[in-house]
Amino acid sequence: MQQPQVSTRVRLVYCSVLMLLAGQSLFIRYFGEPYPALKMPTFSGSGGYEDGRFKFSRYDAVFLAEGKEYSFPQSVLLAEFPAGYQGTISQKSLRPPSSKTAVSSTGMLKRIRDTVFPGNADRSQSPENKASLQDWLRRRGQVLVPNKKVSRVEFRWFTETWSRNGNWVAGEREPTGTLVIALEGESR
Amino acid sequence: MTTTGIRRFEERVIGGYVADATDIAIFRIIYASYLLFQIVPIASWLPQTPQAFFHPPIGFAAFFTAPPSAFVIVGLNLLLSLFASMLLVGWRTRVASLGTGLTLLILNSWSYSLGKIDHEVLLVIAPLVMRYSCWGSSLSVDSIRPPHAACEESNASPLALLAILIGFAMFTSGWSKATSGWLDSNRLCTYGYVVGRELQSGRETSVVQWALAIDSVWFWKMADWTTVVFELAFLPAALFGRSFRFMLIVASCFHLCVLLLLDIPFSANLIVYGAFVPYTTIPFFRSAASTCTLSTARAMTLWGAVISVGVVSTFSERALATAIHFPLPAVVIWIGAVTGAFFAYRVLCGFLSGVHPSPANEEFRR
Repeated sequence: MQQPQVSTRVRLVYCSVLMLLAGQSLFIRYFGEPYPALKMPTFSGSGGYEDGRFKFSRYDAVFLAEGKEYSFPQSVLLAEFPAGYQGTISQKSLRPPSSKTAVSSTGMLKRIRDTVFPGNADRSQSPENKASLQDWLRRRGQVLVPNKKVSRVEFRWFTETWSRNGNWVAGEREPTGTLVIALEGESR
Repeated sequence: MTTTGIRRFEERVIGGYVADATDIAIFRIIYASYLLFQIVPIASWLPQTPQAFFHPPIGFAAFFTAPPSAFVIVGLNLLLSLFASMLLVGWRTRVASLGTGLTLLILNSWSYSLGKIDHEVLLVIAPLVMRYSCWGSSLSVDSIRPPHAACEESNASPLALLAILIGFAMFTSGWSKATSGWLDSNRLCTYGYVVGRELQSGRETSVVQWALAIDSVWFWKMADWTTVVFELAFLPAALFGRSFRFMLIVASCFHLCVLLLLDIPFSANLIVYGAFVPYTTIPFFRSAASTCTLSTARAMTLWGAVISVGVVSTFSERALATAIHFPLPAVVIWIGAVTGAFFAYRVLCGFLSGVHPSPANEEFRR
């Protein structure tokens, strides 16, 4: 097989791609990861392992119906979504407002971004979002707590610490906040 | 560096990726089959999602403020099935490549609109880059349809570009690790992820048990360092075809370790690595490719069959492999590891017998 000649067109394509990749690195640094981006999973840090202990942030979804509490873990509550997406949905949509990650960019850049990409703007407190979450929780309530009238749902977040004593055992749970969604009357 | 030096360097980089048209045609068939059997349908669950969960990253889906209707998702999946089936039989391959890449990109944008990006971007990039190669000029309808024009493009430059893109993607992962404590001798990051996955999922496989029984800080630290070095080395290795193929052999083993220890079947990458496999050096593929005679009627029957797979998957809202409980991603990773081991053995034998181990080498190919 012959050694191929490199044409100007090929050279231009390569240069453009290299510039795009450099631009992507800068973009991610200031605005976060877009899609598409040429990027692989980061697996940054040690996955919650520090000083021989693990810390996980979890929650119980508690449906309050007719004076009783019915508690479900994330995997049951979000069973209709792919398993890999459940953690992100929980972190982005079911956390108490104060503990959500703050939006990094502010000012004019943020306004431009929110105008061009309205889906990327923070709309967590908008009436449409609240109503859609309430509707979805009512539907989940009918499946998870059938024939009961659910008055509200609480997402009780906690940090769970695991330490090794021969085997790994779960230790204390430290509450880190609760998101309350009222399904009758006022919401959040 | 002089102009002549730069040109020589360019030719050497791209020349390292010269490939046989039949090899990349086989890759085309494998890639399209994977899409039809494992990937379609994409985001079929999305239309029922509440607007409150809609947090798209910056990109196509962020132009909207709510998930699309079921009509849009079904339509896009049918379109993807159409393009992927055309790609499989090699019918209007260039149009099919572009269509596959773009529909996959839009569907993935919707799929990731809840905020989680699955990093299967190489599946999107592969057809967009390979469109400029001759991957439709063999084992295809295009190769028997009049006017039968010979492909005048070189396969080397698209493959070299794909290699650089893969190298960069892997480099980003290595860089994130290197800058977040994986090189720190006081932190055990691989160990952390393995135990963390076990505690969170509650599964206990024998391989994980065996690995966690290794109570050596140095063993786990070596795993961290090796991973970082391996991922960072992918980018410079992409500048030379031989070193990049060596990295792919290591990568096939790496992805198997990730599957066994973390239960993450990252098969999309393995499929794309397939672009660099000299299939016709493997007896099974060589005999299959030489005996394969394609007529237009046979190709259209095949096209009808494979597009029905996509259509049925779209309307049943489950990929065919998932519906029949066939663990295709894990199987792809195992096949990748076996193929990697096969080529490692061939390269070793080549070195011992003094044969230059390159896919371009006719003696090696035999």
